[in-house]
Amino acid sequence: MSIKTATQQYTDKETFATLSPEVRVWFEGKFGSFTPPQRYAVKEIHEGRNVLISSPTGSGKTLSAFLASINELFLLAKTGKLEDKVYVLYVSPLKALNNDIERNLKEPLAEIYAQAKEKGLDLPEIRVGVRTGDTPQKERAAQLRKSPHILITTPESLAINLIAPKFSLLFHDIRYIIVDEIHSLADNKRGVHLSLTLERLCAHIPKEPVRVGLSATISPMEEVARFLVGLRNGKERDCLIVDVNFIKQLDIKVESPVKDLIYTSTKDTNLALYHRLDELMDEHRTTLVFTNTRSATERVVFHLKKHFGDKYVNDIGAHHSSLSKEVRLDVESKLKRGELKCVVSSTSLELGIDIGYIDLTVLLGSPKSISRALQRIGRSGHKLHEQSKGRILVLDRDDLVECAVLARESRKRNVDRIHIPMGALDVLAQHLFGLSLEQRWELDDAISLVRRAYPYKDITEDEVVRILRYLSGSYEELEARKVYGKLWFDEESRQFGRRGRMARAIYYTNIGVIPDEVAAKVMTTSGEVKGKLEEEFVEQLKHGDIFVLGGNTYEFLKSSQGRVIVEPRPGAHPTIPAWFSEMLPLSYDLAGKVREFRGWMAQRMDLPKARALKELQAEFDLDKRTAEAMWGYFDEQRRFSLIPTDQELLVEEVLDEEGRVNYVFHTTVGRRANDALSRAFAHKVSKFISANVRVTIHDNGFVLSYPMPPYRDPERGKLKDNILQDLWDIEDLEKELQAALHNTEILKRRFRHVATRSLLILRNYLGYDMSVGRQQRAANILFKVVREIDRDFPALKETYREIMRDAMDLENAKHYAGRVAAGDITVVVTRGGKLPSPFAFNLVAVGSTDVVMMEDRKLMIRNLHRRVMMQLEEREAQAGPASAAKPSPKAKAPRPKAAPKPKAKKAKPRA
Amino acid sequence: MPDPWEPLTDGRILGYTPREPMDLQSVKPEKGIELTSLHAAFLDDSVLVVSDLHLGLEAVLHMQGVGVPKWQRGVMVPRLDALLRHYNPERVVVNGDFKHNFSRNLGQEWREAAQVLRMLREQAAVTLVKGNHDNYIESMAQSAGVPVQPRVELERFTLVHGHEEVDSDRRIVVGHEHPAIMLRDEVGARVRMPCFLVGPEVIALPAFSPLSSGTDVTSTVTGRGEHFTPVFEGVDADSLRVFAVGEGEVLDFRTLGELRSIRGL
Repeated sequence: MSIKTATQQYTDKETFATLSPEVRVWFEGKFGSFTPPQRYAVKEIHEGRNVLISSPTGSGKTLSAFLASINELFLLAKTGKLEDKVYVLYVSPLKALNNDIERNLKEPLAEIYAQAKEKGLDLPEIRVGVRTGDTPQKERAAQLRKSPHILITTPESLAINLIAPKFSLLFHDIRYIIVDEIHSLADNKRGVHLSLTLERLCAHIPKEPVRVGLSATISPMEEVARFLVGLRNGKERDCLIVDVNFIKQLDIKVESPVKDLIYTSTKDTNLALYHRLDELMDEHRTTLVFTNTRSATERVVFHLKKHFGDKYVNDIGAHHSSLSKEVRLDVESKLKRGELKCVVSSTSLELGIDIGYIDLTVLLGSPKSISRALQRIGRSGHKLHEQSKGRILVLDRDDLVECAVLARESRKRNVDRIHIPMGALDVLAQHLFGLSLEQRWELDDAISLVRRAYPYKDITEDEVVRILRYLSGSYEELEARKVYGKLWFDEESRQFGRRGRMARAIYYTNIGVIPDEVAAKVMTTSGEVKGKLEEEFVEQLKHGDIFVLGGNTYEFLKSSQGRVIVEPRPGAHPTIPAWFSEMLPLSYDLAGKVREFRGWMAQRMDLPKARALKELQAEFDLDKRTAEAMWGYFDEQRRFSLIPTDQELLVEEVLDEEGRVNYVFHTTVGRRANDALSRAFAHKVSKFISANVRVTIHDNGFVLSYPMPPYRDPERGKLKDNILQDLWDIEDLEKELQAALHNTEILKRRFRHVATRSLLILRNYLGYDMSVGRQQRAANILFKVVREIDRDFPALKETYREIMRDAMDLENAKHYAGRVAAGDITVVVTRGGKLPSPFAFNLVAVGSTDVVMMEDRKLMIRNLHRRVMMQLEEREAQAGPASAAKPSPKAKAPRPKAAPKPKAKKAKPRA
Repeated sequence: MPDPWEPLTDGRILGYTPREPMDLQSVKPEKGIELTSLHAAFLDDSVLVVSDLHLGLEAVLHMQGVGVPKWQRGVMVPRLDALLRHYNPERVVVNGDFKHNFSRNLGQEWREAAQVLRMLREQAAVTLVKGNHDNYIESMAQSAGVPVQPRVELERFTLVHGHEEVDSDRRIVVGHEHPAIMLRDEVGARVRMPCFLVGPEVIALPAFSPLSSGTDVTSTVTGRGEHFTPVFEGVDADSLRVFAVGEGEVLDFRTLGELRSIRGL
């Protein structure tokens, strides 16, 4: 069967038949009948099939997953066969969710037991236990004495418990493994880590446990199912997919808070936005507002309280991951008790924490992907029969276009596809180390175990061996190996195993995939928080630098004690690349729909305006005001230039005031794919013009900029049509991108993450935590060295893979480039403009920036030197001969003459 | 007698040949002062000065839980050899921080450091100036037949590491700070280059260690302020001449004050 979508919905009778009489009576008395996911799943799980369930909030998802196992435990209890071991394992990415689940399990168990007792059945207790990093030592010890039958845990705790000498013995008869919120794990390294943990766990269990995955709307379901169940003997394990999201009614609308998104000032737009938000809150009982960043969450709460101070003093709350656990718990419990009118969140409330009754979700700005939109909006309408109601308030014109398309696709449930990281070598290193702690391994057995995890199905022996080599310290001379080797590996006998007494402690304190970060708070002089910056970046800032953060430009004034003081400088040109971005990236699939929409709209622009508006309103369910704003945007673009579509790619050559040449590529492919395309292109261009090239990256396109080379004929410094066409050759895209990453900040930062995950840098060693700053300095040294000695060093290879395929989207960049190269998309170049077209305004203003350096570093340094000398000479010439001797206002003394003064030098005694 | 050129045990690393150009390029800002692209100064046409080798840095990182393969020595030995061949100096002064911090049980680190000293001694008179990282160095130096001194006095120069205050009426030559400049181009590309700082009273050398990233001396907002070593206290930092080393060349960047005055650099 391998991966299959469920087609058979069992009747209540058939499903009830799988339950023992006591459980059946309880269920019937409490719920009456089964919900759709239960009708699909309970019987299948009961019969031992792996199932992936995706169903809306309020559809009885948790019981769909647990009912079969509760029933089995009850039967064991009844027949006196319930032993002290774990039968059911529940893993969720959120600790907060664990407590909800514990409550949601204990309640039915208590009820079933109470009913059984009435009938004179006195059964041994079915125990439910939570075990996470927060579980106190006392409770852990108790769990060891009396094992929970249902164990609730997180991926990280599970990985640690796998090598707990005694506790792991309780795992050897696990019958059900339930993975909750699997959609939030499948696309990142936490999930990759879990996939290997599960295979390591299952290798100890003689009879394969049943796996149940619970997921929000996600696509493709088949991929997630494969991720859940993995492979056995090189073949996919079976899995049944239950997707019943269609049972929930959706009501999604997009609104522009003002009629004219072009000429209305930011201040007035914001004011209108808050008034509309206030209206919506008035019309509903409890409103959940989503922003895209944590700082925006704070801003919205601040402004709501400022504008409607009397109305919302205590009944409005903020919830995001930077807030303390206490604050978040307080907001959650107030929500459950219905005491809040409104809660504003970034991503933290997307996941399934029980938050009670919400009747409206408002999204401020585009959520950038259809699945995220559905998840967020799906948080409203708690009961199954209630519809989920979402309103998207757009913030600018690009947002409007994106959200209109997004809302339509959400209604059609055209969910964008996720990307599962494949073959991550750093996570694998942790598990190879973990395996060595369990027993002595034959290399071939270990490799076949690893290949059972879906993300590692294609891992090569060479990749595994290279990791084992460095983990065993074979890059070192023998003496140093004793100090550093984490395991022993004998290449001749093809075996590896545990080394040293410290190994277990190193595993306990260094396992996990989430890197440490230290961030400095960014504030204005008036104390308004604007976001966060990494320390590394802050250290490189100089007074007067202008940089982009969270879509706005700021001037750096000063920094002290973890705070960065800035002045907002809207519209100013950034002087320093800010390669990071707090903003969520637009998904490639949704970006494609935006390109198609532009084509659709371009055709409508030839129609009489009234008719175009009518069609626009009908197709996208927009009110008149919003449709007008849309029409106005396209009209402006059409009059200035042409409308880029899915068939025509507009490339604008813009010569700016500062003498730079800019090429604006209207490739709406989402930031991740644009990131890959722009850097690869910049690298090619840097070779062509022998200069460093700046890239500006945005969801809707990218810009390549460089100073006009000093040719006598300025045309020589521009990129001809054939060059702009040749850039799209996809054969060398990956190679060019890899070369472009050389010496970038993103490479250094990601290398630190990978090196710590790879256990090359221990975050905790011999009981000491290494600070992030020291981790980064160690990483910089390590980077220099491994790059020189082995270009294929696993951590280096993984850093490039992670950047190109997880952080960026090389696959889809290639896909798009391939279409251009094949002539499926035509490149249209406009030249000689002084300003970019309206569609590029946001792109140029708030895109994140970085520099791709030319490969010839010697030439680059000479260029830089020449530039410095020219500037100094120019200034001297301007200042005139009189002041030429005084080169700078700061230099108090003239340049030293050849002979040193034989003056006594005495350092001042220090106070 | 082990040959210092022979890889110790593992050919992959210690047999590594650095890719950087070994051609030596230099400038002479004044008579008797030659600054080389290999991070060394040649004084009075007779004394070769290098600073801050930090040998054994990798082993210290090991003790902190960082798995960095040993690498520095394989880069620095060929560089030292190139310098010795080119200048044939009468005397070599290691101006402090010859080693990083060796843990006592890493005998191999000691043996390797002694090898480097012996290699130098075979071709010139060698003196180690004691730096702040050079604890317990005496016995090892003694076994290699090399004296350790707090400072070395030449006719016109006092060579001293620079971590402490110094009294001298000669021109002071220090290491310690690992000076470097960070420059930006028109599109915001950043380049960091180790540099020599040359003033009428003090000269500072860049670190010889290829793993040092250097302290940016152009920055005035962050960083540690104007005076980095106590030796520089009272010195007008803006008037220091800057000679940066990049890709095998020494480039004259005029004065620190001028560099700092260029906005957006």
